[in-house]
Amino acid sequence: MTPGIIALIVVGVVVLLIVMWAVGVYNGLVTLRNRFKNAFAQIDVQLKRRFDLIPNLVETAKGYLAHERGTLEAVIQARNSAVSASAKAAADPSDAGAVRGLMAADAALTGGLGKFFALAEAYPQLKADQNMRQLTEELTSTENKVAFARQAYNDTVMVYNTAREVFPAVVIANFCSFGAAQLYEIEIAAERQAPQVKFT
Amino acid sequence: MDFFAHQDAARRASRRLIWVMVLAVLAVVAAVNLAFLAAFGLGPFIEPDLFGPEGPMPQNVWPIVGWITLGTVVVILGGGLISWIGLRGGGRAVAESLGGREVLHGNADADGRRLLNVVEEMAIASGVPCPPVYVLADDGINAFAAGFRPADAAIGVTSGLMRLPRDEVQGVIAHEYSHILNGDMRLNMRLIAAVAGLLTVAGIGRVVLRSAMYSGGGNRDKKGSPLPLILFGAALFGIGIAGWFIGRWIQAAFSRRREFLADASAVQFTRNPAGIAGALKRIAGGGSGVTAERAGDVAHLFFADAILKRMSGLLATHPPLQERIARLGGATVPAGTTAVQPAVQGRVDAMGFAGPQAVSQIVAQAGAVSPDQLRIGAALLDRLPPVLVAAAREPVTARALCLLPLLHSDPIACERQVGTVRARDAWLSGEMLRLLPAWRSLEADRARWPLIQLACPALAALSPQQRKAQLALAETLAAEDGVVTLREFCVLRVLRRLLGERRPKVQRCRLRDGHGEAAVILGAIAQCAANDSARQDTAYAAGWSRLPIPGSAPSRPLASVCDAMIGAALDRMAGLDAAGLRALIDACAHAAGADGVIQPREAELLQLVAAELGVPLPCPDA
Repeated sequence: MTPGIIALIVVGVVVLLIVMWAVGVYNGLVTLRNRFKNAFAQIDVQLKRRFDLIPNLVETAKGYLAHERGTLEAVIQARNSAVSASAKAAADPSDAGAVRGLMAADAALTGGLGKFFALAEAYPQLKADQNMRQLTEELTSTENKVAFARQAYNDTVMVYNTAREVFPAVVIANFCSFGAAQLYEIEIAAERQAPQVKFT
Repeated sequence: MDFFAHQDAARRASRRLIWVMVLAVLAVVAAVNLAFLAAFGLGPFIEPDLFGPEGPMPQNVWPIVGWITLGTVVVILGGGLISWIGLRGGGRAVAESLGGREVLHGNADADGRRLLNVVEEMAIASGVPCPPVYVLADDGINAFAAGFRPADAAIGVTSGLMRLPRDEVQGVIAHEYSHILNGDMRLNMRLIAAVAGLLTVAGIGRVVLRSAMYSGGGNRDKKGSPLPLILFGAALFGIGIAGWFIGRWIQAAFSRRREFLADASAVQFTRNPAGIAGALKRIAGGGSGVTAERAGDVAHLFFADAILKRMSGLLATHPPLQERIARLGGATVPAGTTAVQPAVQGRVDAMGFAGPQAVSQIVAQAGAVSPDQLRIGAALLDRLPPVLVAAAREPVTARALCLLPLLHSDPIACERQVGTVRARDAWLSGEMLRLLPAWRSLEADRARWPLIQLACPALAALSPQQRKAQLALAETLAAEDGVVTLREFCVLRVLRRLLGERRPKVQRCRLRDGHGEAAVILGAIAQCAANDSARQDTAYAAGWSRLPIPGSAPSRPLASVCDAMIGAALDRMAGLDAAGLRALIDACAHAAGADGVIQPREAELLQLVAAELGVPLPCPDA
């Protein structure tokens, strides 16, 4: 009887420790998930800045690019899609689909802006416009800030994804539905270099 | 009770906690053993055929008791260790584990921006790095401060709190700052780990016991199967109930009295009892519950009861609301002082910077804030160049800002340093050049430390890789700088710590064992305090005379460059006991103000040195 009970005690202690360890892993995953959500908020701040610049940019260019309505409207459309995609992703950055949606909308916007600037090359008066120069300057700076925030977010996502993939934590992660987080990657090659806006 | 006495009290409380934990473990062990024996007593009634002719009790009960004891101790300590590992991330990790979302200037609403302003004003006023602010999505009104020390502190509020009027928000934030400034944060964090082992099992035990009851009742065919589970459930019940009661009691015992102190400190800081009383009254009406899962573990970190089911009497982590409100009602506001104005009128008109200040008062101001200092903090925020303030509040630009103190004043050397940055990160160097004119225009070093303070949350938001890169860059720039003044040296140390450099563990030490290090520190301050050698000697002697070290002063150490020796001295002296630290800060104040008064520039230097020693000195007074 006695050795049986002792064995039971040992098993019981081991089980308890495992459960407590599992609780610790759970808390750790919650912490890391909130950390990358907060890192996403930093991207959101910079994206907002970029989204706010674009209507001004388009307004300034309207006077000069009267016949290029299509391109301008495409930029505004892309910007508006990106705004709503960003709101959706910001509401829950752990929703990988929402983040991918934002990445796609972001890429579309960058493509639209690329076409816009390529077009603007042919209009020297537009290039000389003071407002235009300032806005494109701010836009370039904002692109850098977005890139930096993105890097911080990706670093944090990597830590979370690694933590949830490692055995044995992966058991708890799957049981408590900690999904993999989406890295914010640049999709189209064009965006890998910052838009070349040389108005000199 | 001043800051140093608070530190002493916190240390004593930490020691007490160890003894209390030992007793707690013994109590829980006893409870579990009793639970097992009760289960054996009940056993024959549930499973009569299981027990042999020897009767219900096994022949030799002592080995079992021994194993039970060992098992219980292992479980409690294991739980504590697991919890302790989870606390490694400091205040931010605690906030994140509660589901906190950081409040950022870039995407906050009006309430959020106002909250950030309140926190920033108080950070500048009290001399500590500005903590990051998190918000919990709860309608209840509550707040917390977590972390081991001011450098890794984080403040959290519920969304319910953010909606309150400004002076009530400020009252609650002042209460949280008093935890940061009083030096009892470390104790609070230790408390989390201490009760973790006791509290976690309770939840597990409840679940297992419930399932054991259901399965044991209906399953009489399989021989022996329900009994182990019932025994197990009994053990959990024992550890769980006993552990829960004892754990909550410990939490309550160590936090309740200090909540009164924190309330009193908040009144002292703002001279506005109505603010914090107003918040408490609203909580009495509306509640302060926090829905995060682990709110129970950290209940003692909060401003008011965080657990949804309010516990009364001995187990309450916070004193009864009515009693707190009543004590605040009687709080005396010294005649002639005015409360801090609510923000309806906006910030107070800018005031002139600090004039000379009585040297002996400095030590008494440690770890506290006055409404005048809060006003100066608010005024400073208004006067700082907006481009620099905006840069401090975002991680990407805060990097540039925090490198500016390391730039040489000589333009050629400066250009070389910027070139070094450009080689690594062209955008960063461009940003630094953009901010440089505004930085140079800051009057006489006075406002540089506040900007670094403001940049702290942004720097904390950098990813570990980014922090490492930033630290490497800062080190390179500092090395190129050549001559490093004491002020730059301290700023560099602060930056290193914010960017994640691990400090050597602080060894406790006595002042009489460290007079070499004290001499080095006083010598460095004396060198900054005066220009010619004779006056520096006087300053040094004035400082040394305040130290309770017998014998004559060692000759003044001459250091043309602030180097590793001063760093080592600061590291060692940070481990002084409260009395030694008070004496050293007093000595530093007298060395800085040997000519009888302390200029704002010297006061700021004292702030930096004291911060390195772990003593928060408020911003220079008007």
